[in-house]
Amino acid sequence: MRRLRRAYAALVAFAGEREPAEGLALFRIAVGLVMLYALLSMVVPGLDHLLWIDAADGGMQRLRGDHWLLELLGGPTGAVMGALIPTGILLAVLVAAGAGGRVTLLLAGQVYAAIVRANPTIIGGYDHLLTNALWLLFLGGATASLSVDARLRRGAWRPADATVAAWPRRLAVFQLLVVYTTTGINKLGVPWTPIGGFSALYWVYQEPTWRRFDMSWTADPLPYVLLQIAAAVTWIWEIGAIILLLFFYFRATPERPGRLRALAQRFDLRAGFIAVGVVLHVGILLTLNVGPFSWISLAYYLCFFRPEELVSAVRRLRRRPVTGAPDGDERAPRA
Amino acid sequence: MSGLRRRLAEAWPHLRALFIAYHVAAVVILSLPPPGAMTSPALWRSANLRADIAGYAAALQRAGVDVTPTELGDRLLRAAHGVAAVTDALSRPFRGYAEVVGARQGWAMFASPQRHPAELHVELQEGESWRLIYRPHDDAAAWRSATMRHNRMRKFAGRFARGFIPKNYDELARWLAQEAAADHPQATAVRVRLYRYTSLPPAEVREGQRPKGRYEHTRTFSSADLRGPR
Repeated sequence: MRRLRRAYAALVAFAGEREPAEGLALFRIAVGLVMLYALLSMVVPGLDHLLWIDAADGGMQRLRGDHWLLELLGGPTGAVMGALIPTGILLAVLVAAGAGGRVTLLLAGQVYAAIVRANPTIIGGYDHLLTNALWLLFLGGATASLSVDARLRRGAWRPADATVAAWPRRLAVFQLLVVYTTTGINKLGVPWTPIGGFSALYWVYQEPTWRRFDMSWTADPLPYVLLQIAAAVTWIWEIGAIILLLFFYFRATPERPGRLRALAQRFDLRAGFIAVGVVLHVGILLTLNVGPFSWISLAYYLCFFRPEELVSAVRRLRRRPVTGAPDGDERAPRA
Repeated sequence: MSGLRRRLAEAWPHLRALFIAYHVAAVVILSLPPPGAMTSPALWRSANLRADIAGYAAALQRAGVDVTPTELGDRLLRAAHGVAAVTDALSRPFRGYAEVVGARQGWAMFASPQRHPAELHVELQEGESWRLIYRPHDDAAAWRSATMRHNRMRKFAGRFARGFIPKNYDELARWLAQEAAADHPQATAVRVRLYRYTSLPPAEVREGQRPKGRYEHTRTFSSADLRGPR
C-alpha cells in the first residue's frame, strides 16, 4: 500500500513538471507539415474525389464513413468533403504556424480524422500517428513558442520564459515506443523468426504492393544476407523499444543505486536507438511507398530530446562556420 | 464560487495524473491485436497464415512435438478466441475515448509478409484479342500507373490478396473499366482480373525463374454499357 502511494505521488509530481516550450513547438511544426503533405498528396492528383467521396457524388465507392463529425454532417458527400478537405489543409497550415491555440490543434485532429475515416479501408498507421500527435499537442498547448500565437500575445516568436507541461512530449515518446514494440510483437509470421530464416524483408520486396521498384536483385546472396540481418535487427529493435523507458527512468533517478542506472548515466542509449530507427525509416522511404509513415515517425523522434537539447543543437548548427567566418551572435560588429 | 474554484485547483493535479494514467492504459490496451483481427475467418483462410502455421508445426515436429498443421491451427484459433474475449473486455472502457479524441491504436504492420500476392490486371478487348494496359511495375502496361502507385491505392488493391472483400473489388473494377473505356474508345470490352501467384524463394529467382500464377475474380464489362449514363 505504501509503495502504491509513493508511485501515485510520483505520478502527480511527474504530471506537474514543466519544461521550455520549444520542444513541443518543434514537434507541432513537424506534425503540421506532415498533415499538410498527407492531405495534399491526395488532393493534387485528384484522389480525394475518388477515394474520400461517396459514389453518389462521383467517388469510386459507396461510403458511409465512421467518424462522429462525418455522421453529424451527413456522411462523405461531395459537399461535406468539399468543405472538410480544404478546412483540413487550412488547419494543417495553422498547426505548423502555431496560430489559433488549442482550438486549432483540437479541430485539426478532429477534421483530419473525419477526412480519412470517410474511407476506413485505406487508413494507414500514419493516420493514427497523426491524430494521436494532434491530441497530445492539444493537451500540451503547443503554440506557446515558435508560433504566430506567441508573436501576437507575447511580442516574440520565441518568448524566453515560455514553458509547457512536460508530460505531453513524454507521452509522445511513450506512444512511439508502444507503436514499435507492439508492431514487433505482431510480427508473428514465420519469416520474421529464426524458423523462417529472418527472410521477412526479402518477401516484402518480392510482392508488388509496397515496393517502389523491381527488387528481384535482393535474391542475390549478399543482398539476401544483408536483408536477413536487417530483418533480425528490425524485429529485435522493435520488440525491445519499450526498454528505452527504463533508460529514461534511470536517467530521471540518478540518486538511486544500481549498475544499470549508473551505466545509463554514462551512456546515452537514445543515440543507438535513434540511429537504428533513422536507418530503418530512411530505408523504408527509399524502397517502399507507405505514404508519410516514416515522416510522421521521425517527427515523433524530436520528442526523444529535451527542449534544451534541441535548442542547443539548433544553436550549434547556426554557429557552424560555413565559409570559415563566425555567424549569428558571434559575428563581429560591422565597421 | 471561489470555494469551488479553490477545490478544483486542489483537485487538478490529481485529476491530471489520473487522466495521464488512463491515457497510458488506453494506448497499451488498444495496441493489443483487436478481437476482430485475431479471429477473422478471412485471415484464418489466407494462404499466408496457413503457411505460417505449417512453418511453426514443422519447427515443433523437429523439436519432437507431434502436431500437424491442422491440429496446431485449431489450437491457435481456440486460443485466439480466448485472447480476443479478454482484449474485447479490457478495451471496452477505452474505445470510446480513443475514437472521440483520435487516439486509436493498431500497429500490425508487415506482421506476416505477403508470400501469395495478387496483382491487379486491366485489359482491353480490341477486335478478337485482349491487350494488357495495366499491371503493377510494368512499363509496357502503365495505364493510370501514377494513380495506382499512390500509397492509399496500393493499400486498397493490396488488401485483395489478404482478405478479399467483393464489394471493394467490384467497385474498383467498375471504376477502372469506366476510366479505361473512356480513355480507349476503340475498345469493345474491358476486363479486370486478379493474378495470384506464390513469390519465389531466392534460389529460384537467381535461376531466372518467374512466378507462375492463375487468374481469379475476373470481371468483364462491355464498353457500350460503360459509356452509358454513369
